[in-house]
Amino acid sequence: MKNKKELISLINENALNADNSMSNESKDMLSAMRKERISKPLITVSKNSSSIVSGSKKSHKAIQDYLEERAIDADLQFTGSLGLCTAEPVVSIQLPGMSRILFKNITAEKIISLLDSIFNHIVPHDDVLGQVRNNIHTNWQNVPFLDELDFFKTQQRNVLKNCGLITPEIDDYIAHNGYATFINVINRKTPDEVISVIKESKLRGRSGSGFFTGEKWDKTLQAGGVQKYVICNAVESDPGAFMERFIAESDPHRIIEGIAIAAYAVGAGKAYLYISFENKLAIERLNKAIQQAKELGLLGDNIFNSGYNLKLSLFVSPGAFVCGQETAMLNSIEGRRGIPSERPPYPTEKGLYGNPTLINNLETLANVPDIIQNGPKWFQQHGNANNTGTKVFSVAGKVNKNSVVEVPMGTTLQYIFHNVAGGTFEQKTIKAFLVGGPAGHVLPAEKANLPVDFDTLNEQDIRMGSGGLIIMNEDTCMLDISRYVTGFLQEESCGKCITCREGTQNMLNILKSISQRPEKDSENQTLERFKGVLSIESLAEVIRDTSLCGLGENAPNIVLDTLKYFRNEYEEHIFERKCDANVCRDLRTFYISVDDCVGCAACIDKCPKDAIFGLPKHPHFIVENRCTGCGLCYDACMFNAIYVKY
Amino acid sequence: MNDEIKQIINRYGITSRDNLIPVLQDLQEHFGFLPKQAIAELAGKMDISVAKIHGIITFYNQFSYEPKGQFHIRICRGTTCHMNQSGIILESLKNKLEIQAGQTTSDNTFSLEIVPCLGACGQGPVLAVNDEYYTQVDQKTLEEIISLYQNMKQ
Repeated sequence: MKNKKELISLINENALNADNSMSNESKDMLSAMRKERISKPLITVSKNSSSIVSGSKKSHKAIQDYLEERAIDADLQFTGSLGLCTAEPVVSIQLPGMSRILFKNITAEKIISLLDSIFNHIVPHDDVLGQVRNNIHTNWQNVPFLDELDFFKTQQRNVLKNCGLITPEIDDYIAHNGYATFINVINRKTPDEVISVIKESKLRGRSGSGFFTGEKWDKTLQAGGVQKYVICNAVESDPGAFMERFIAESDPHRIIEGIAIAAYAVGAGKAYLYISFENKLAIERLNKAIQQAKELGLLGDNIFNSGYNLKLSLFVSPGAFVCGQETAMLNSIEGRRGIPSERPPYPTEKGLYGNPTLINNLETLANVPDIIQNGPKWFQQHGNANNTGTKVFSVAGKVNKNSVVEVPMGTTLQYIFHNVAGGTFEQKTIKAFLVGGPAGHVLPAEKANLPVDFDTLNEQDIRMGSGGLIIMNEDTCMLDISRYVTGFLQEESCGKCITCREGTQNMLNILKSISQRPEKDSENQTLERFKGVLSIESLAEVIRDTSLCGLGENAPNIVLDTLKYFRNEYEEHIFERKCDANVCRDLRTFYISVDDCVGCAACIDKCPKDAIFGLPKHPHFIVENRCTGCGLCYDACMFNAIYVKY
Repeated sequence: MNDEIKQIINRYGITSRDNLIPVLQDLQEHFGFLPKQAIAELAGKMDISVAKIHGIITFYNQFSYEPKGQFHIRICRGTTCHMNQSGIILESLKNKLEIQAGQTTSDNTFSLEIVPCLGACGQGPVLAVNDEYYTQVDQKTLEEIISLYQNMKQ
């Protein structure tokens, strides 16, 4: 962190929006902090949870070694991530006077050749991702600009604009106008003014509920009581969704500023950031960010002489999917089991310790600083009538670019999947979209032209969810997905409502029975199985209608959706005991081709059920009754002699 | 160990209920599991019954009574990893180590945990052994990984 005083005065000058009246000294400092003029090479490595898995820590180490060995004087920093997970680890290099150039998939072994060539001003074109556009630096020849790339060109990055380009440190955030809005707000605006801006912008809760944020703030402000709380909900235990942790890792200060503005607007003196213990890196970055903000006096007592006090602390959730539900979250902060309670009273009236509490999603709050800064009209230029602004999605599954993307509200699934995320790979047919995690919905490929916004989806009786988008192709078995999701929700059901607790278990049993071969044909197993299948729809409806919280209400969504759109797959499993996608392991058996088998006995060693017999150098065979379809022999065979028998 | 427990619990001056989860988290972080003595100590200090604390511990995913192994294996069971057959990897892990998820092998070498998402959906199935990540794991690489750590055990 730079000198405290300088940073504070920079925030103040930024807050006055005094670009013209800014002193030359501050201008110089700002330009240096924005890395517009550098005296030695600057190298950055992306470091977030996805790039670490790809090996960015090792790349960082390799660069360090490289610089040390050759005694090169250069700055080495780490940034968040651009959101393009398939390009990780991303390394960027800025030579003095030249524009910053980014390289993709730079694992440790590529470092030496990359740095060797770039220090000699030779661009290894195969590794290039793009260069940053600005009019200060000399551009690299024949290197595309980032904003010309399909991935960035097709997006509207507001919340994500800093991600991957700045470090998660406070200096960098301030250099990009950070905290100026907050200081401006607490010194020059009343809470009512702030709320009216948010109301006019028509910002809606990004967690999927779509409740108008301004109204929620207003309710909390109007509620009586001395002590009020703000909680930022950053729990993201949806398997396969990673946008919130992504923002927290790449641009943590934006969230803190959003929380601080919200807290001022509703008159809260204490705020919590509620995040799951699994997101270790995000917790580390947020903790550091909060510490830095405190040191500069952006949090604490009498912030920037405004008379406003705010305490912000991180509450690390001990992890339970249901804790994303607001009443369950309140219970867990109070030191109880995270079990939802009945609403109303809503938390805005009676929340944490019985006091009015504003609970907003992380992405919602991350939108706030820019809305206040640029005004509601700016926010409304994206999206449509009642669905303004942009939405962040994490796109994963059978897609070319696993990524975190931001598009205007009302963008179609097709556009997100095809234009932004690069379509499906290996020319396979796309089958379905899973929107909003395990409590979300499955949409068939034909619905790809559906605009994703609150109102359109509500008309179709679909909850948008928080923004996880998973794409499935012909290799995915829909029955397997609904079994997996039901299993997950059954594990995570808190157990309060009997229909959710027992119902999901029953539903899981039925789904299992469909995707299994009967163990014994006697004992009425087949009859029981059909009885179950016939009742699954009504069971799902009962769970949906009689559960207290969102988990139970939405638990049967995916089963109902897959039944609606992929009924043929269910029928195939039930009547023909066949899984077209070859995923349901219990339905398949294997056989060994007599012509191809050389008798190496590799499969015999692997089989956990001793179902394979044969003499060395003679073709082996599989005893069908013993085979459980685990596929270990299939993987072990080096001669492709084992085939699936349906 | 008793001294360490007391020290951690005493970090929180006020023993009100909302400190319960943070204390348990500190204990879990320090020991890698929750020692039974600590629960008794905590119950006395906070005036909450042991049963209530037990209820909280078993409710949340973070807490466990079982010490972790020298090599803690976390396997991602997120939707995308599931679509990439992480279920089979989990099955074979269980078979190889002869433990269930959440357990530790009898020689304290390996422990196995299921996590919802490691944040690297493009490269599933993903698993992590301590801080080392392995992507696109299949039967063959799994075998190599296990034997690598088997040789490193103390």
